[in-house]
Amino acid sequence: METNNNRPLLPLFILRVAVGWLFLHEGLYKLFTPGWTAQYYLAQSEGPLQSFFQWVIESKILIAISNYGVVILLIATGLLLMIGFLERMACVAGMVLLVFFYLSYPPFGEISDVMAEGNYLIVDKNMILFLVLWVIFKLRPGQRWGMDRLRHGG
Amino acid sequence: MNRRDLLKSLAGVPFLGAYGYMFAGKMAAEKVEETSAFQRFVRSKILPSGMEQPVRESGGKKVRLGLVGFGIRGKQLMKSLGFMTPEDIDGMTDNQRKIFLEQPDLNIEISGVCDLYKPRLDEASRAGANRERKGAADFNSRPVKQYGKFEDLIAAADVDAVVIATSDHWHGPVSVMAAKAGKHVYCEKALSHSLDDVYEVRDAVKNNRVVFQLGHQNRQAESNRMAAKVVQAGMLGNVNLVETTTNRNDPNGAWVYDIPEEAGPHNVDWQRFLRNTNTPFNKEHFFRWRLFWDYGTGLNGDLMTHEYDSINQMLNMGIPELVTTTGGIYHWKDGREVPDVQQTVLEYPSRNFSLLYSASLASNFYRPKKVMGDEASIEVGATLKMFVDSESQMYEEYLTNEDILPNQPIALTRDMQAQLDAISSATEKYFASRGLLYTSHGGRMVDTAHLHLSEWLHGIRTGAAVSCGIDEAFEEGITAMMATIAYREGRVVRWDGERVV
Repeated sequence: METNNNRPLLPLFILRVAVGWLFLHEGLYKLFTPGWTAQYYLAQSEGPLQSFFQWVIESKILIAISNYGVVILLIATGLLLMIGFLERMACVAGMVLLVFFYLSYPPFGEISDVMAEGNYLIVDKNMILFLVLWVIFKLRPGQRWGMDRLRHGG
Repeated sequence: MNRRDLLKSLAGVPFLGAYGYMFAGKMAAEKVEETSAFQRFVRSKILPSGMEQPVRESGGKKVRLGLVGFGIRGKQLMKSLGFMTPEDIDGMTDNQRKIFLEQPDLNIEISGVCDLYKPRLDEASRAGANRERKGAADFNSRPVKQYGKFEDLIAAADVDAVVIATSDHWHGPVSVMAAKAGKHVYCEKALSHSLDDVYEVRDAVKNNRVVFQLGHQNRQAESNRMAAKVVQAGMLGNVNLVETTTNRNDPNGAWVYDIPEEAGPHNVDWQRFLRNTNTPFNKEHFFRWRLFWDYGTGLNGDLMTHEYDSINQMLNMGIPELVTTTGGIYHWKDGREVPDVQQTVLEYPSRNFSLLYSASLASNFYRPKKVMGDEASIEVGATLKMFVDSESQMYEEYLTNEDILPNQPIALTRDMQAQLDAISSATEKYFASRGLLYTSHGGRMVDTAHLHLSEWLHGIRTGAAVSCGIDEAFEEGITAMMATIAYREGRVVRWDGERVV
């Protein structure tokens, strides 16, 4: 990997900040929307995790855990990605979230009737974001452009 | 560490600052807008269901239908399928005709029609032939095949599926025979007129794997679909009481239909109309069958079933554990047997709620459906309104901030029917107010029965599920029969999980 040259990493840095921005905003917006809950999203899910989600929404405690979990993970991932601190950990956390989002409403070609704002087959925006995080995980732009540079001593 | 290292390591921070600044501005702007927080909350839980109605392809194979029964409802169903007599098309107002002509083509053919009254049979066969939706001036198609016996229509090789709009006491036998012949079935409510029929229809449909849809077109109405989402999203808290009603006050609404002068034993097949009885020819029984127990079940089968099914659509509560029905013939002292004022209570102890059905055929006082929860309630009519409870905990913050006022209506859907002159008679206005006539679909008025039939045809072509299939029909059939038995036998009727006791 070309690490001496800053240039190939600059677009990656911008990409990482943009993805961080997206995650952070999703999290903060939910946090500031009174009464927001993942319950409905989970209840309507028709993917392979349907029975797991049905089990989750039967318990108030599990719903509370998923609500806080999603919000905290989104905000933390977003913040870390933006400033480029612990970026590999942030990438993994984001990827785990995206796997859940993907499997909640999997674009497997069936007529999807809820929550979908576009039309997708297998590849959807969640998968693209997942791949973006994978690339960032592998190429680690934070070692140059981000606080991870301090950890690795530049 | 040099200065360059420090600057590069903090490269993301300005973006974070910019985001924080903009987010704060956005939140401040949204606070200014009245009720916006609550609206955002509602939006975060439900989306307008108009967006999510799946597109149903009418492509593929042409489905060949047979119609059994061309009375009031049979004629309406033919219209929803896209078939009317040229005379009826000429007789519509411009607005009504526009809606009818814009109704999508379902890629079907009417292969045959069946009715026991000859003038109606002739009319049905002309309507069935009017594929091009022409007026009398341009119409010259040959009428479609007429059947005097539904058995022959079902057996016909060019019939793939049947639409059943007979009197209630024949719904069961026609459905069973069609299913056994492998023909798909669209059957009008009520599913049946006897308990045995309910089981027989279910078994025949399941064993022969035909696509069955029961005629509860409320399943397609925007306000009902949205209400189902609101309830299922838990926005009402725990639902403990549901109130449903019927209010009509005119002869047509009380089933006092016109009896044609020219009708008589020569053009009515009276023997085939009777099922298990031996009544001598009686024109009133034939044309006003809804008034008599031998052929119908009064309010239970005709109108309570719609109310029950729309609540079943929201709560999926199935068959009640306990049913009572009281009432009487308090206004229409015209020799009828079925009550015109009625109270039915369906109890669901294990789900902790009661469903009340209260009906009068001698008062037009408007009473929309009400679904009551400890956090909020909804009122479902042609539009959907939500009322947040003054004691609500879930909405406490919105109430404190005066985002919303307690127990005041909040409209969740728009009323498109208010501006429509396609609805003229009092009975039609009643059905419209229950969301049973038209709904909005992508901003346009659409006939709900058309959508319901279209969903059934889509199911036939692709195997996709229908919204009021045999399981929902079974629940409706058992429940309506429990209410009828409760009234006629004057007792509490129970469901033990498998049988009515």
